[in-house]
Amino acid sequence: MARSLKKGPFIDEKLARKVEDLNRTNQKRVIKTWARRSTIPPDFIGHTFAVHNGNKFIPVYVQENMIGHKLGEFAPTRIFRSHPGGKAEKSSR
Amino acid sequence: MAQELCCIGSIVAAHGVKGAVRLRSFSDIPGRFARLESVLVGSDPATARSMRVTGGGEDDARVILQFEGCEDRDCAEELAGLNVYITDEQMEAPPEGRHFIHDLIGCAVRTPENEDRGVVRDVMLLPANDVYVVNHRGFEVLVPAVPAFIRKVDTENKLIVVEPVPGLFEDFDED
Repeated sequence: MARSLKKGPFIDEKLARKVEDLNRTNQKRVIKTWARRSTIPPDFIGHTFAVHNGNKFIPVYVQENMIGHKLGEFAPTRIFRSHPGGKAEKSSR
Repeated sequence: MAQELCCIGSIVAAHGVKGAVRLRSFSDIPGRFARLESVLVGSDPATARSMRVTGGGEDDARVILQFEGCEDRDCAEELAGLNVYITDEQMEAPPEGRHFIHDLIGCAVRTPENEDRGVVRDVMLLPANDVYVVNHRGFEVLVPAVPAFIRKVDTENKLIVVEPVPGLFEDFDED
């Protein structure tokens, strides 16, 4: 069941405050967080969050198309091997 | 020394009754399997044997290949579980702005001020962005592969220049 529109999106208060401080001072730094349930608002664009996946902090660089999603969606908690290791025609940016 | 082969897929199962096989692709090159003439098939590069490709192709969901001398389903089922390799000469260039993972592994990571930041050990392909796993002073540092962090990638000289964004390496710099 979807969250009530009346409440608005859930955004972690401490995280939002940290981003607000960075935006005010026009700084960029990696913000460590455990708040996987926090929705990504437009203010987060261009910031990088180290989102905890239960084991380590996965760096997530927030882009426009991530708005409205939760931070946890971008830090998988299970290992998925999508390349075979060794030499393969698998590429990365 | 044996030539290092490039793995482009693994055979998942037989397809149909005429000896075709279904593949799981490890290649990012569009239309890669439609242009193949011969490949090496085996459980590892040392035991791989050359096979001529007589037909097949790919769509979004699956890759189908037909090999010469493999005319029925029984023959195709024997190939299930084996890997498909190509030689260096058959490899194509990566798409524009991208780099092969095996070229990135082993690259030295430095800041624009030429400070050593370790060596790339692995590349994680994640939903938000790819992440370089860097071995820095015995610790694992994850660097997002986005232009805000990566200034330059030079796979020929095995060098990656990263932007020293605060909070990335500091935790591991304390002696």
